[in-house]
Amino acid sequence: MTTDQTIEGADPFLQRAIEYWLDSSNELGYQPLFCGWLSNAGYAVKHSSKHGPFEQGKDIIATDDSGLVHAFQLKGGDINLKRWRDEVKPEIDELIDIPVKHPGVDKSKPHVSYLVTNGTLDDTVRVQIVDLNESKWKATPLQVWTRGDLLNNFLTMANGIFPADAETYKQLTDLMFADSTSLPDIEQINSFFQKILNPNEKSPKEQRRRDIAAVMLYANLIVGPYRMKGNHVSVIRVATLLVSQIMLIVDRYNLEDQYWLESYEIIQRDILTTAEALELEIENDEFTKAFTSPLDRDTMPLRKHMALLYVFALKLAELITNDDSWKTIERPEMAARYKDCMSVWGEASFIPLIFLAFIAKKFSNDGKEQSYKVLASIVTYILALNGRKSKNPPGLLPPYYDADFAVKVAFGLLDEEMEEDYKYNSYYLKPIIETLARGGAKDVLVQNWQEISFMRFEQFVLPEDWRYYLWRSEDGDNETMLPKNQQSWKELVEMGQKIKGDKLPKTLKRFPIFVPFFLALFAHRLDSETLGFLDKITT
Amino acid sequence: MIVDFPEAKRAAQKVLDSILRQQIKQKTPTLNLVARKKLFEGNSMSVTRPDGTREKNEFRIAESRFSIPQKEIPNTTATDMIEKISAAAEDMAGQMERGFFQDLEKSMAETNRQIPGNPGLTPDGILKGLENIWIDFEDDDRSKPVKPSIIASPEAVDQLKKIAAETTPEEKHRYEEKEKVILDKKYKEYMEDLKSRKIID
Repeated sequence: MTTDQTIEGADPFLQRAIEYWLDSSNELGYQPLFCGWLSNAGYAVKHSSKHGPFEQGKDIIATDDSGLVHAFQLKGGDINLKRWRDEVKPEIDELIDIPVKHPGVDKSKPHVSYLVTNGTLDDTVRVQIVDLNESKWKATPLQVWTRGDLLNNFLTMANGIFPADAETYKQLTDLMFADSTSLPDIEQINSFFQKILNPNEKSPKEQRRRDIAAVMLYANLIVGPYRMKGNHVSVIRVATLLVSQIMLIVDRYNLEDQYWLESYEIIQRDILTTAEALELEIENDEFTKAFTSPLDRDTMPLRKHMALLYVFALKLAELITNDDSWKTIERPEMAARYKDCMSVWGEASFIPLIFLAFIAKKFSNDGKEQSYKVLASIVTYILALNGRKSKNPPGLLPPYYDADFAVKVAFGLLDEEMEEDYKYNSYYLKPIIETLARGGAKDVLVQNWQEISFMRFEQFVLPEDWRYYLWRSEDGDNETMLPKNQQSWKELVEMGQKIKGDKLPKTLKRFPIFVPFFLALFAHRLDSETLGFLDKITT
Repeated sequence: MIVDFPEAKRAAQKVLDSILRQQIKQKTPTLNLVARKKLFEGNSMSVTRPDGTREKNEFRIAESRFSIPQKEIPNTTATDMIEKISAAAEDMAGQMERGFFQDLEKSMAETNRQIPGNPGLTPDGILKGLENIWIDFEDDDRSKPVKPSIIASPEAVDQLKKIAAETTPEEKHRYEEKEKVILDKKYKEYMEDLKSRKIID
């Protein structure tokens, strides 16, 4: 659906961009941004559902400044009389009749009910609602918001914050029309987010709040096509980048909660919901269904790897928040499903195994032992591929190289021949050794120290903690540490125990649930501090 | 403006960039002996040794410039461009190699690893050098010493070739025997070092 009308005062390009996105979204697609708009408009979002059967017609529950409760039923597309009778009306009856059940909400008080759709209502439906509002629903009449209302609401989020020049508009268009089946171009999206958030400029805090609302709007425009394709991994990656860039502003400028916290919670909820959808999809045999062309034979290992990465990130996040759902990872069918899902191209490819090692600590049988076995296997890999006896340059690539790069190597798509050689180098070895030492896994290190002692531990030292959130930091030291030939075990344990993530950004420590998703995207930020912190919070 | 073909120009530029990289590679033989790694961020690099001492270096820029006057552009051929790029590559390669040797010399002086008396590039000088450096043995095998490469001026290399041509079989045998003794000693040190690498207490 399109409209030729331009909303007064709105940027015409932006209006068309939102219209395009809104018309190609379903209710799940616009729900996160709708929550964002509610928050920006002064509502406190108490609940945002996964559209399950237990929602009793209430997809979103929010309260306003006066404490009045508002409950929203979200729909996608036009609603004609048949759809109204068969699908929507029964849910609206539940929405209006059943009190809101949510901690902190007084269920004896009436709530305001809303039907929201990104489409339109047939006149017959509109008439029925008016009649019901004057009779059966008179005490608590149903409010209706359709496409035009949503468009107006979302436009207010931009709040005058538009791309500053034609080039940035083009960047936004390119990002919105990127191939939504692939991985998103994080570097480009990061560059676009920075143009909206202006992290290097000092701004009043109220302006920061508006910037955050605007960047949420633009992020949703970018992520929309991925969401419609069910490309969960890409949705999570963009959302993770978005959180990171907001956190950067928060930590760098000491922004108080009122300016950003609810936005973070909405995006974090979206990340978790999307990761759960990914897990469910794989449970429904998506790996087999994804084979649609003979060419998939070569790309499938990396596609599976990326899926595994985010399912394991979800499991670790669940464990961190004491949500017992993480325990599904212990089931034999889970092991069978994810068997052969690991591809190794560089150190970043070990992230799922590192997550598994922290999850395994809590396994019911020999958890600690299983955890060390996983970490020991990574040590063995690193030493075999980059140790002194390795003979195949470039060896295991540093964590700056992602799965996209691995595909280019596999398909011979690199622009230039790779001339690097990473023999002796490792970014992950030191933090893993420290984790093993902290846990007392002396045998693993005694067995491997001779080869470890030849390695060079690489780490990127950031001058300020907020720089962890930078995709690339101009300032910082590429430090190479040479291990001791003879290493005292006691000293190693003490060194490991000192590292607890104290140097991490405040927000990352405050929201440990975000850490697995952050590391899944920012693989180059996995270091002694991040692993020390993960170790601490999973013990 | 008159319509252009920017994609074709970008492709040509890519080829020229590739030529520049290849030329620099050819003209930096010493740097080619060292493993390359790419750094993705930051403004410095440092090494922290096992004793805790730290050496930090800021990044160094290697750059060169050339310009083509507007009136000469229509007559500038691809060959002309490649010539200019070669000159720029020569300049940049020189900067990179000089920087490498400056850093190496500084590091050698700081760690007392320069051979006193500047022995020159002769068989005795080479043996003296061997005695003073660490030698690795591939697969920990005595028969596979990883001998160092020699980087020297063309004059010094010619001089060494002349000496080699005039060397008698007996002198050559004596040299090999001396080298074997040094390598035996180096292998013993290598194996002792290997055994010493462990977790203690």
